[in-house]
Amino acid sequence: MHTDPDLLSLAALGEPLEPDDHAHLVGCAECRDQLAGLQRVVELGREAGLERLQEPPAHLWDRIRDELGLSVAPERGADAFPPPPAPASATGRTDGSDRAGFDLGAVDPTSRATASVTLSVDGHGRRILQLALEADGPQHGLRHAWLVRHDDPSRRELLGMLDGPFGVWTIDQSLDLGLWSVLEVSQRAEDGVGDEALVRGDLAAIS
Amino acid sequence: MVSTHDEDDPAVVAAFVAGDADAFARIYERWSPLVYSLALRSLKQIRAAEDVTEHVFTTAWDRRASIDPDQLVVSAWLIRLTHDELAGRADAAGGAVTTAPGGPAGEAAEQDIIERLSVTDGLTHLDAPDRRVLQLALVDHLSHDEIAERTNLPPLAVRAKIHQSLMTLRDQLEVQTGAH
Repeated sequence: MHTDPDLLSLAALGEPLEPDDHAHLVGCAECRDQLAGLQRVVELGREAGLERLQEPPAHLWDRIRDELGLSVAPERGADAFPPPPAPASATGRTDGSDRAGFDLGAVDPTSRATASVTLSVDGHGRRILQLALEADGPQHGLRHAWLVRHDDPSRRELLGMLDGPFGVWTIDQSLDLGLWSVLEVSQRAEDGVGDEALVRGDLAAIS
Repeated sequence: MVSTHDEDDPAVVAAFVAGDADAFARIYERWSPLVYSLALRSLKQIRAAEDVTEHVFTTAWDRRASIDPDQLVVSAWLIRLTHDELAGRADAAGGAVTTAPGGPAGEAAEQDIIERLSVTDGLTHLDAPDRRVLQLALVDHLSHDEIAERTNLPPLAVRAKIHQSLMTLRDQLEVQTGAH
C-alpha cells in the first residue's frame, strides 16, 4: 500500500515523515517520483514570489478584436473594464472588478518615450499600479514613479523605484487618486544631480 | 476547491472552437498574461511582446476549426504557439532577438521560464482561501498544524487543501511544459 498522497505533499514542503512512511518511500519508486514532482512544484512556488505575470496593455485586445473583425459583447474583453474612477470620487477607490489600462506620453515630445500603465485592485482591496516604460534614450540613472497633485504640480508623492523599464507598486489607501491623479516617471539626469521627467499622464483624463 | 473559472470549462473551449467570440475573449482574458509574460521575459521589449501576443491569439482564432475540443488543452496549445513564434523570430534574426542563448541551453532557459510562469499563473488562479493556506506553507514555512491553528481549520482539511492545490499546480505544469 502506498503512502497517503496528502503526506507526500507535506513531505514536499519539508515536513518530516513518520518512520513507516519514510521506510516505504525508500523502497517505492512510484512514490518517490510523486514526491519529486511535488518538490519541484514547491520549489517553483517558493520562487513564484519573485515572479510577476504582466498583463498586456488594454489596447492589445482592441487590436486583436479589430484585426479579426470580431464583435464581442460589452461585458467581455479588456475593453469592457470600467473607466478609471471619476475625479469627484472621495477616495479614488475602485471596487474589485475594476481594472484600467492607459498610456503615459512623453514629456519631451522629441523623445518618443511612452509608458503603459495598469491600475487594478487585488483581492484584499489594495490598489496596484503596474508600469512598463519604453524610452529610446539611455538610462542615466535610477528611475522613479510619482503621483502628483493635478491642482498643484509642486506637490508630489513618491510611488517608488523602477527596475529598468518596469515597476509595480501598491498605493496607500489614504491617497485620493482623484486629487493625486497625475502619474509621472522620472530619470536621474546625466549630471547625476537632478531628475528629469520622462513620461506623464493624468489618470482622470483617460476614458 | 476546484476552480470554477469559466475559461477552463469544456463548454467554453467547444464554443471557442465553434467560433464564439465571447468564449475567445474569456480565453484571452485568462491566458494572455501568461503568453505576454513569456514573450516579455524572452524578448525584453514591450512592443515585440505585444506583437507576439497578438500573433499567438490571432493564430489561435484562425486555427480554431482544426482543433479537436476534446483533445485541446488551451493553455498548453497557446504556450506551444508562443514558443513557435519566439523560435521563429529568433531564427529570422539569427538568434540575436532573445536574450537567452540559442541551442539546447536556450531551450532549457525557455523551459525554465515557462515552468516558473506556469506556477506563478497557477498560484494566482487558485481560489483565495486555498491560496492563502498554500502560501502559509510555501512562504511562511508553517507546518500544517500551525496553519490549522492560524486559520481555524481542522488539520486534515489543511492537509487536503495543500495537497489539492499542489496537485492542481503540478497538473498544469505538466500539461504546459509537456506542450512542445
